[in-house]
Amino acid sequence: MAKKAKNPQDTLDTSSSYLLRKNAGASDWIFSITIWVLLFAVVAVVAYPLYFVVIASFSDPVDVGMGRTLLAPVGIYLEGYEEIFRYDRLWNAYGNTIFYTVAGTILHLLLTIPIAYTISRKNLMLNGFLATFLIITMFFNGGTIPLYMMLRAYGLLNTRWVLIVSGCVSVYNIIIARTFFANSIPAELMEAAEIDGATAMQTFVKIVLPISMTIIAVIGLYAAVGYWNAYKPGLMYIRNDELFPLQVILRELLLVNMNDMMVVGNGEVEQMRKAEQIKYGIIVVSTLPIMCLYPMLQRFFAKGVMIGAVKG
Amino acid sequence: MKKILSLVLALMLVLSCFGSFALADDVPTLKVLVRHDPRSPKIGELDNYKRAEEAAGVKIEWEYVTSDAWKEQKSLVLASGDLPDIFFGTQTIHPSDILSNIEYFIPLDDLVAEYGDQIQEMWEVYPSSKIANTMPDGKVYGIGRYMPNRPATLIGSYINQKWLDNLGLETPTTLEELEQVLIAFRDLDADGDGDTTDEVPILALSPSDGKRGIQAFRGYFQAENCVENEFGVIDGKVTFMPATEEYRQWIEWCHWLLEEGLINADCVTLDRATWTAMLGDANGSAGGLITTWTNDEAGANMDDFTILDIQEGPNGKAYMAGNKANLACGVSQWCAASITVNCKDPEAAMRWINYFYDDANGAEAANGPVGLVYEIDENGVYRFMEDQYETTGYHIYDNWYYSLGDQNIGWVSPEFEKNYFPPTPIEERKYVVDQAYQDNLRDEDFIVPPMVFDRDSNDRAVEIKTDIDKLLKETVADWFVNGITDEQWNDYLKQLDKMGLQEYIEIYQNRLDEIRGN
Repeated sequence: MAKKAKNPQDTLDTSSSYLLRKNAGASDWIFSITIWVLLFAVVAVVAYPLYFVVIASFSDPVDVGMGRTLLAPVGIYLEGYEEIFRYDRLWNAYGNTIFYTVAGTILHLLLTIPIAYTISRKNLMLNGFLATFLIITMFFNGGTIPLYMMLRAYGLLNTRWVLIVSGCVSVYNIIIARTFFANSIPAELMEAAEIDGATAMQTFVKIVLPISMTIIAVIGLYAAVGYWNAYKPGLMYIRNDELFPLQVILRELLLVNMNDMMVVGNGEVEQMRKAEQIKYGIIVVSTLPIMCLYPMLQRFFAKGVMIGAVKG
Repeated sequence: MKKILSLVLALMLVLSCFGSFALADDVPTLKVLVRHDPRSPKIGELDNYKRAEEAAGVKIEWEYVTSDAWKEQKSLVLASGDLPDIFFGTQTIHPSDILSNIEYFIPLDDLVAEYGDQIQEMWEVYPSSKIANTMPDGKVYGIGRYMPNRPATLIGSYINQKWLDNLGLETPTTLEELEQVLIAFRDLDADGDGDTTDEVPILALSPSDGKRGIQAFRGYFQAENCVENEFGVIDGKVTFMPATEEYRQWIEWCHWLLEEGLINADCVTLDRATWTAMLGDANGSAGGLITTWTNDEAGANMDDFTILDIQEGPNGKAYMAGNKANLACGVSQWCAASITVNCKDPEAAMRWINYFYDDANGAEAANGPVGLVYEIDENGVYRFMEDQYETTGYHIYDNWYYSLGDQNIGWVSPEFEKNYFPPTPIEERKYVVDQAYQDNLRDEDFIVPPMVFDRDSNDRAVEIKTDIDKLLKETVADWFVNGITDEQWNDYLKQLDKMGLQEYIEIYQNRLDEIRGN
């Protein structure tokens, strides 16, 4: 490491080894320590609430209420999780959400990527018009009630379709993808393909798609997170128990347990306590799978978001 | 021969098909939208609801909306006009929903007169159940309900008997005695742990959390409201309680509590979760006086708390907020059932609704069917089958598991309720508190019942109320912490007037005169 440090280029790249450098000066040390302290503070601020949720979900709600759970769970209490897992509607809903997320994400990609590619091509007639048209929909829409009436007219209410179709196109994602196609794919590549006799479809499928995996991963992740977290469509368009997505059931589990006793009547206080813990348990149960997805897509994610931001 | 036989058979089959079709057509089908608790079984599958279909000769197509999604679904349904035949269940449609969508609902007076004999009986015994749903045009668009065994008071005060015993004190019955007890709690070692400073004489919740906080003490000064609104009727005049001298006394007393350290200093911000946690703390020391629905909320320390019944305050008799006519919980302004213009057979719908309004059916609708939840003993008394009753583990109100709970429909007569329909074990605990406070309730005349105004008055009243509520909230918190001066009080009264208090009172007064005059 020390040998390599002779090359100034390497010193810049191996920033994480600052503290290990043998010939580091005092100012280097102060600099490094400051950075480490600051970074640690930032991580603590971001990570502690998450950590707190996890320990609170295992602790006795009385102790949580009294503020005794700061660093480790106090008085292990699992009734909240028992309650969550006993709620049989939950598992059905979990399955539903996985289905909606997978099917929805595929549909989202099938629509978003071709649209973005199409409007990114400068030789497309009316491509400027199409892009403007799409952008207008970002600012103006019909509103909730007309949308509801339209979905009803199509016969989509109370079907699985409504949860997949709603949110299957996002103009925001299209713009990100368009920027990628316009800036990161050299026009020469497509010209070469054309000269070699590739049709427009062949160019897209065989040339463009294979080198666009980054943007596909990013849009896919955006879509998947969106579908996973969506509860509004389920709340508004679905009445059939069997079709509810996870988030609607979790919301329900939370709200029905929090009913104000004064309004509804005689209550068991144990339930109130449980409700407090259920709150934390629900966060863990519902975010765990999607959090596991993040590290795997992390390397695409950071890169892809940058691509969308750079203007050509 | 075989051919002929098979032909005859085939013909018979076809004919029988037609026959059954024709039969099905005779039974009117009603689309019923109901708000239901997802933890309970669907009510359409319960015996008593199946019997109702048979008795009324209708076929019900149930549509369930979970209670947490109701608000969103209701606004979509009303805005898009995608109506069911019947909206079913209390806390489903409010008279104000009907007021702003009156073209969707049909007036029910004639139907009730013809097919709703049992509903009429309820209206006669509990007139408020009709008044609450009478529109300014004099017609009723929604049927109310009367729910048996519900309390007349909302919040009870409980005092820590263990602490009283430790200090050898009597349970106080006047406000003065209470003050002495609170001071003793503060200064002495009430919980017996050797520390004289760790006692909280009153452990209260933030005033914004319903009536569990200092609001519960208003009755001691005769400044309590009549539950439904901030009004009370004094000498025939609608009075806005927060503009009275008594109200000021109450807030000054609360400020005194805070200054003297007789109430937890964080009671303005204390949230419910922390509060119940402190009350149920295994180490005791939960607080000396609490105001709550029942002492269940004290969890592990529940048995330490006994009912506190203050009889006398500085202005004479001390009251509790509540309502003898059982408006507080039994009768609700929400409609238990309303029929829409979509309904092709309103007569059948009314026959079906009317089914729930008699003693036996009302009782089953309230807590669940006989055979599953109740057994009837040789004297005709309903016994709650606790041992056979299957609890689910995640339902709060076990006696409401096989019913719509507080979203219920139906009624039972006072005679039946008293003699044949005792409170369930869970209801019993609230019942005891409620009985203790029967003498502390104002006369029925004091109550301004829930009423429906004409559309303009309603809009205006809502507008004024919004402003006033905001002012009340701000001033209570401010004065509670900082105290109140004459100047502030006068400013406050002036500000109320500027917000339209007189107009607000007038709207209520006029409507009340109209109703009481009738």
